[in-house]
Amino acid sequence: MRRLLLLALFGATLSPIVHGQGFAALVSPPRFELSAQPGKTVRTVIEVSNRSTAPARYLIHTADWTFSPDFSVTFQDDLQPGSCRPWVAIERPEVVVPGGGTLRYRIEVAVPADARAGECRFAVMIEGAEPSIARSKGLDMPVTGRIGVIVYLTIGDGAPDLEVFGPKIATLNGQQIPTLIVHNSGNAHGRMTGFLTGKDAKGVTYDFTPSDFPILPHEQRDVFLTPSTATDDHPALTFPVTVKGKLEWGKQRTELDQTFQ
Amino acid sequence: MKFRGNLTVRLAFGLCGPGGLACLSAAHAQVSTPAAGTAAAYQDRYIGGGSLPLDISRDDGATSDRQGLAHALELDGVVSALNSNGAGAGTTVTENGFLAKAQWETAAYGAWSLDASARTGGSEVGPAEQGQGGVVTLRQRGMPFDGNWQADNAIGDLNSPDIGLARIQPRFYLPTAPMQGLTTEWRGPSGVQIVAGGGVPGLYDGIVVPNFRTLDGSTATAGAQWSPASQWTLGGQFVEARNVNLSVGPLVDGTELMSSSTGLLTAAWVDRGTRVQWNLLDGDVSGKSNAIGTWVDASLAQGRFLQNAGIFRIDPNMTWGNQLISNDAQGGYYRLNYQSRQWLADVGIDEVRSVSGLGTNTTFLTGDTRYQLSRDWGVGGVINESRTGGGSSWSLEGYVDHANAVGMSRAQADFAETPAGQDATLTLNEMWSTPVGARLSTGASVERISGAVINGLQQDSTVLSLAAYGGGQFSAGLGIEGNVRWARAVQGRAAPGVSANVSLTWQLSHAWEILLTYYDSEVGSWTPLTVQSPLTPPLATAVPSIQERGLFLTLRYRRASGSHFAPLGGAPGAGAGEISGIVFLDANNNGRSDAGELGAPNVTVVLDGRFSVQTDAGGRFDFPVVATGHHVITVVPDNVPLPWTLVNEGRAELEVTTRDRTEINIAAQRPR
Repeated sequence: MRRLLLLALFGATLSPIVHGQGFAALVSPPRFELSAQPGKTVRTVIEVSNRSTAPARYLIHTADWTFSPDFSVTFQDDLQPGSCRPWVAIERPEVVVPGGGTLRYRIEVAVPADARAGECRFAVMIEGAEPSIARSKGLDMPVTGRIGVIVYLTIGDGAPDLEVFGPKIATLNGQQIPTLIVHNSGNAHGRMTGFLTGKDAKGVTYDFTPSDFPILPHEQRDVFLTPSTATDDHPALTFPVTVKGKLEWGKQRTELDQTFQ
Repeated sequence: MKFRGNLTVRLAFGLCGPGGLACLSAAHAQVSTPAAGTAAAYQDRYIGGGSLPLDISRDDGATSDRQGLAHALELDGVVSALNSNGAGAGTTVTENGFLAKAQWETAAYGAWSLDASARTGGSEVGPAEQGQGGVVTLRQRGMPFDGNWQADNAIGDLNSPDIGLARIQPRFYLPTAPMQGLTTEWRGPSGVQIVAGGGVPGLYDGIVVPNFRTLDGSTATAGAQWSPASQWTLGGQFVEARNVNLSVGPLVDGTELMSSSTGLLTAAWVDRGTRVQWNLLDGDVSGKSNAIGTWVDASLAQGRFLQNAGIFRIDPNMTWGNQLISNDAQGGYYRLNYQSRQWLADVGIDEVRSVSGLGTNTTFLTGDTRYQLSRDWGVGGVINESRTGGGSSWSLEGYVDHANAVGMSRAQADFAETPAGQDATLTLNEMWSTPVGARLSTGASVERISGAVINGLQQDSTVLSLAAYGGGQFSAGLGIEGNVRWARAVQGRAAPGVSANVSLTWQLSHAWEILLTYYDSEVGSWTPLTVQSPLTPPLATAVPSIQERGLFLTLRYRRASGSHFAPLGGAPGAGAGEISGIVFLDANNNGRSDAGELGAPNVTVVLDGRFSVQTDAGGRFDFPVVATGHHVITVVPDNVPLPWTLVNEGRAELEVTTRDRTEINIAAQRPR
């Protein structure tokens, strides 16, 4: 009845809430895929939004990175052999963004005139300067938030050149999945896409979607062909499975007609 | 261990979507040890030696008040200088006033929102008419009660409520009526829904400062639905209108005040992919003979196929309150839809006969297909044919979509031939790849209309149209957002058409900003020829003789408190992201907001059935601080103009990830 009375009066109540402080940054875009000719300078902007109510101090620097066979990313602060970070200039090493503020952080890459066709890859790391407290099972742990924005810069005619090997069957999320082994003999990263269909041993028709992980130059990686139907995003396949269709990467494409067993 | 690694990566990529690798790193590294990244052995180079001035803007979510549940306030003061030309006479008019938008969460009384404006100035209904007005709407959603009951209530300028079954109408629309009054909706166990409302019917108008103009008379409604079994829902609703003047102002000679009463009985049966709904309408209007309407809609989803079919008979003079609906029609329809990753195909037939024999008998055939050739190329086409006693009409559309280095392109050709003439159009649309924080779409078309006589005007003309839609930040404090369309006859006598709504935003501080908006609306005198189903509500006829052009200056104050620590839809301390988007009229049915496609203003967008915002003049909406996790956005279709209907009934489910911005475009399309 009291609620009804309040409804009639169209009143409202607000309750005080206890809160804490933490790392709260929104970074956009999450990655760059740029291109440039030798001798040119590429400029772009990363937006860093402080989603907390208090000012936040961020440390910003470049890093090299590697993409491990187990799909984990490792960032290296030390300059790695062949790194293009000496071409990169960033705006400043640290910045304080007021609560709710958005920083437009400028970066530029000056590609040397004698740079060979290929790809420059690096990361821009945005780190919270002050550790915040993470509470888990009664344990207070100081943690530092860190976001890495990956930059791919294709230089000149740099392009992936993917070769498809396989097939094999991998286990993913507890399900057996048709998988291709793909090697990139080009000088820029590639991602496999395509429209594939197929049937399993029971005669059920599926669509297959290639995983679009980056395949870096001179690396070999598994590309999972994830099945789906109109009503099931995670069907269980009965092998052997035949998959047909077109695989695409960059400006290239190839026909696939493969049985997985 | 390899399996576990793969699983982790898939989870991270799946959560981050196109963010890909960067999101992966974020997912792995957001919680790392203090030592991570602190020893940078390599010394970075800095642009200008690190002396660049900071470029920082403040968002509306900024606040120093950390107390309380989520609550937000936005106040606008607006002044304008407008020139209105009607029937050749120029008049200087104004639209000045205040707007207030507020939302606040309560611990036990649901979520509340207030949309209010107070204005002085003209009106789209009668631009030269100056006067005072405005809107006030106070809504409360999701007030909990014992026994698993919840209530939504509203007072002010709003739309009459319909029960859920009345809103689920694939071919026949039972539109809600704008009115000034009260509504209530109660939801309880066993799918019980009870709605009621009443007030004075009216119309929304206004450009930047909304206005509500009441009509004479009154309207009231009450209804309920209930699910007695898991597959069944039964419902009924009664709508009454008394002495309603259907136009603003004094009663025009020869017209009558409208009174009507209509009852609806409806029953729906749902079993997995099958749905059948039967409806019965019984009504009378202004003393005319009693009218009966009944129709059955059925849908069957089987794998990639979806079939829709229905039969109907609706007597002449059927209304729903003071709203006109399809009537004097009997017949049936069938639609077959197929959808896969590469194919989209839809064919259908409508057979419509006049009940009274005084109307038109029509057979309508339609076919629509799209094929994704490759990652970057797609093609499609639409063919419609309408056969009536007075002759046949047909239209053909073909298009090519191409994703390229500069963005996403569509080239489209349309041709229509009707008894009124021929219409051929070539269109190029481009959604450009832009730097972060900016977006731009452009469009250009050439339309040749020959032999058409519309509204008594000879339309024989060739019209060139150019359009642009986009926005972005020039600097930290200065941004732009706008939609412009310009059209002019390069041959023939058609009058030009222009529409523009472009705002420059200058952020003075974290809470204050100034908006300068250029507005231009001039309706061209030509009407594109289309061929559409007789069951589709007719497109509203624009008034070509009225032109409005001018500037609006808005001073805005925004404040959001406690929001980060109790995001909308989340518990205190939960992570938060952002949802923003646009409700737009998707003229080419491609699902994207292209240049020249208008936003739908004054449409209510609801987050999780609790928090509502109204779209602005450009159709945009924003929930700046939303709890991480699964959310449902629902667009209330009340103010979406017919014949536009919301794709997927205006419902979208999405995942908000911490510190991420989710952009969602909700399309309203014209049924084929």
